[in-house]
Amino acid sequence: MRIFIQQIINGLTTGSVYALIALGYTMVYGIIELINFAHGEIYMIGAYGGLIVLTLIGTSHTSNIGIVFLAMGGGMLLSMAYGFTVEKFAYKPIRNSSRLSLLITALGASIFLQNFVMIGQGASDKNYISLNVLNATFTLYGIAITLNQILIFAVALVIMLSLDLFVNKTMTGWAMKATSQDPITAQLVGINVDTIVSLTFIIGSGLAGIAGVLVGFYYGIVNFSIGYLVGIKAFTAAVLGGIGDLRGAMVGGLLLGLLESLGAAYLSSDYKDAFAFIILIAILLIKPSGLFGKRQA
Amino acid sequence: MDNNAILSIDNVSIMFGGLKALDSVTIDIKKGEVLCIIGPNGAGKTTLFNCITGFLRPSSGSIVFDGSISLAGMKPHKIASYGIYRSFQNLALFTNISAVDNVMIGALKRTQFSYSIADMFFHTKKFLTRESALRQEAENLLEFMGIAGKKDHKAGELSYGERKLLELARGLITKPQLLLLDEPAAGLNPTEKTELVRAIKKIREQKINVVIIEHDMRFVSDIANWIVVLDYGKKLAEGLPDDVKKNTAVIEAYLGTH
Amino acid sequence: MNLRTSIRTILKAYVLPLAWIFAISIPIMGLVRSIFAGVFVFAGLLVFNIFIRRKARVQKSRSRLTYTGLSFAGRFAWVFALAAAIIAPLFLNGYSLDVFTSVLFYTMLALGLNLLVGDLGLLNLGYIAFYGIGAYTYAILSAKFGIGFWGSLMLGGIAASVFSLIIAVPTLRLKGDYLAIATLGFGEIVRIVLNNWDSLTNGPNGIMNIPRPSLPWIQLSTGIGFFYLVLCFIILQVYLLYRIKRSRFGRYAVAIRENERAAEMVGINTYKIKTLYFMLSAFFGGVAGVLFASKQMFVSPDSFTFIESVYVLAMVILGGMGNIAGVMAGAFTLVVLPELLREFVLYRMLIFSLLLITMMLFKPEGLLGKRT
Ligand SMILES: Nc1ncnc2c1ncn2[C@@H]1O[C@H](COP(=O)(O)OP(=O)(O)OP(=O)(O)O)[C@@H](O)[C@H]1O
Ligand SMILES: [Mg+2]
Repeated sequence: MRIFIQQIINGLTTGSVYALIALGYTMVYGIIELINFAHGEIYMIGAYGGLIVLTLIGTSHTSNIGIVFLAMGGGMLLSMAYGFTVEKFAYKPIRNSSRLSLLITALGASIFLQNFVMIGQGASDKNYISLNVLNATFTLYGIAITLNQILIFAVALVIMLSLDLFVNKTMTGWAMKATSQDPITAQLVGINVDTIVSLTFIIGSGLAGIAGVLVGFYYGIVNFSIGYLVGIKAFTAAVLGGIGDLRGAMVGGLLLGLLESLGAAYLSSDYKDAFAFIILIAILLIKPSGLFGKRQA
Repeated sequence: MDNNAILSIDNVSIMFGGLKALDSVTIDIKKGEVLCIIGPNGAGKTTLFNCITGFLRPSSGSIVFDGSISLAGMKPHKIASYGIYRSFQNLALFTNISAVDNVMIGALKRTQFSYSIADMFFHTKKFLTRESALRQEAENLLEFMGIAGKKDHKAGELSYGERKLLELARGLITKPQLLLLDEPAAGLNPTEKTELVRAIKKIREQKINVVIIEHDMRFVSDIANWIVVLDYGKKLAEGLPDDVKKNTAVIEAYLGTH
Repeated sequence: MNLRTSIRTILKAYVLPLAWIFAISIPIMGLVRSIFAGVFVFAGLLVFNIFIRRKARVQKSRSRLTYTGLSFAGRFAWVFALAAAIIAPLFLNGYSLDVFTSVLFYTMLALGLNLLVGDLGLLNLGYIAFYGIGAYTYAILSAKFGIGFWGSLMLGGIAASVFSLIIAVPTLRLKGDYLAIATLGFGEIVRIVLNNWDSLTNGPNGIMNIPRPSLPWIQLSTGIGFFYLVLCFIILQVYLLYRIKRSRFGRYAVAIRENERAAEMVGINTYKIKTLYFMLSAFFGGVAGVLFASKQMFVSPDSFTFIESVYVLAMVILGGMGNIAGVMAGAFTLVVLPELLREFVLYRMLIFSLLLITMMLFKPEGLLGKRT
């Protein structure tokens, strides 16, 4: 039982990360029907953004929690900049080409960003500064939870709630929804679709960037190649929740985190990474519209 | 059920969400006649074609072809293999390949056993003669539709009207028993329209059954033997062209929505 | 245009993008490299504005599917290429011969994948899995059952086809993008299984001592002999592919790629044709895998990663989707070029990815592409 609960906690932690990244996939897919392969790399760049901020600050304030938020801000901004740029330079010029071309471009963008960072930052792992505050551990009935895990969960929760409010309660949010439902009509009623697409990329990328920094603190290391696997998993989460559906992506992320961590504990830790792929294929086959989707994809 | 019918549509209904796009529609298409389906926009005409050709599955009712073959629930390619061909309202051509190849593709299924796999791998004489015969047949059909001059142009480069005629040519090479045309005259210029009317009349002489969806009443009265009027998914009226034109309900349906 | 507006245009079209790329590159790349990045983007924009903006999309009017035979120039090119492939190995050192043998492997793969991507317009992002399945089939058959190369050759292809059926039957009904993702997932699962099923695959350590092929009267275990062996397979493959392309099956495929609804309307069972193509494509991958394993005499999961799938895909795209000769040229280029540019090894993948992106922008149908 203890192991079970411990796995639930771990699963929710990684699940929150998946959810944050999945939101970006889902938002972009909802609006331009593109599987943005480069999104995993945007997350990775966010992790580096946080690292860069931490390096600038130095090691003298390791007990100040404010540093965490500074790093998150840095990661978020860098990811936003890159997400915006990828859309403007790579996707926008061919938005009206065939889907095959778009997908291949996304693939190219993903490889490009990986190698761009590898050249700039080196191929080896880099370490995040270990912050004492984050390592504080609470133990209850033998179940351990670190402040870091609480932070991840809390940040993800706050972000998801704000995003939900933003999309459902603001004019801009409505414009985004309208564009994703019917871009042509949206244009007719005076919505600037280009702006909305850019905004979607910026928001989605910012969320991924924050996730990158959170994971950086959690695992302590970053590498130029971390985006690929996490990216696919987050995409799986998005599909699980029904691609295009924001709340679905959140639930899908948490669910995938749970499944993965329970699967690793009770089925096989060797095949941990395969679970996501199996779930991905299974859901595509059984219910491509996602667990909660009504629309046939 | 009428034994003289090539296609019997019996009580066919289909729902989209809350919308009843077809509501217990019953139509018998008699052998040898040209049947026109008319009705205002959104009446369910295309939906009916989609049901017949297997792109949609009716929620109830039956569609029987040639007295015994039940079409409901069959896959489109299977239905096509019985000799039912339809054109699409918004065209469905192989855009990046030449007009004559578009037509030739239409004949592939019908001629699929005219050469063996071995013939195909070794390009035997049989293979090559069949190929050129097929090509000749395709060119003849383009000639018949009056677009032979464009045979080597990509389908996508043809004018809208030419594309419609091309789609019809591709249908004819399948040697269909039943030809379903969704607004074939829409977007055609007057010359092309005359060409189309002439072609359809000739097609009828070849004992091919034709069903046409059309808005243009002049065009309809020119070629139809029988007219069915759809409105809001229901069959509003049917009859001879002259009778239908006088039918007040029909006039209202048209004036009311147009 | 007056001065003010022209300055504004230049600012917007060139200076702003340049400055922006420069700025966002600094955190990742540092100052010096960021200057290069900015300049690079500037140059890219110049090219873009010169070529793309002015390019009127002229379409070639003539495009036939009908078998017309090869032109004299075409025949000459084929004969020349074949002669070069036969003669060149006699003058190559061991290293270069290895490079050219690897050109052949990738050619087989690219031609196999082209059946899907080029002919049908379906994206398979896990194609390398079939290569892996072929390679491991041979490795396992020879290590556990003592089955030799010639026995395994067909079995490797068949194993790949059977596995392809497992993934194809359910996923081919999916929309294009979802198919791509599902195949990606499939490829990864295969690799993870190869990595972890220790009792069968020996896990990450791989399987060693795989025998080279042998024939009673020809020496195949040397580099040159092996090269010619693979070359023979490629000649056979190309012949088959051309004949398929010119047959009704090739036309079914074109019809499906161009308009699936219309294809169904003329009676083509699109699902069946797609499945057939999927299996055939996997078969070629599997056979190539057996050859690869026997060349290396060793297999491990590392050879079958996702990026390899992308690499093969890039060969198909570069050479011209659907164009057999083009795809072969694509494979040649993408194997040989990186070898020539060895000093730039750090930038290899960066250039490669830029190539993919620009190809999609300028010429999505491939360098030599005519799509039929
Ligand atoms: N696949 C579908 N899903 C949902 N609704 C549909 C679908 N196809 C058609 N409809 C709806 O069914 C109704 C009938 O459409 P249909 O295309 O059959 O009309 P139509 O008579 O062909 O009109 P038109 O003259 O404009 O071609 C319309 O209200 C349409 O919006
Ligand atoms: Mg219609």
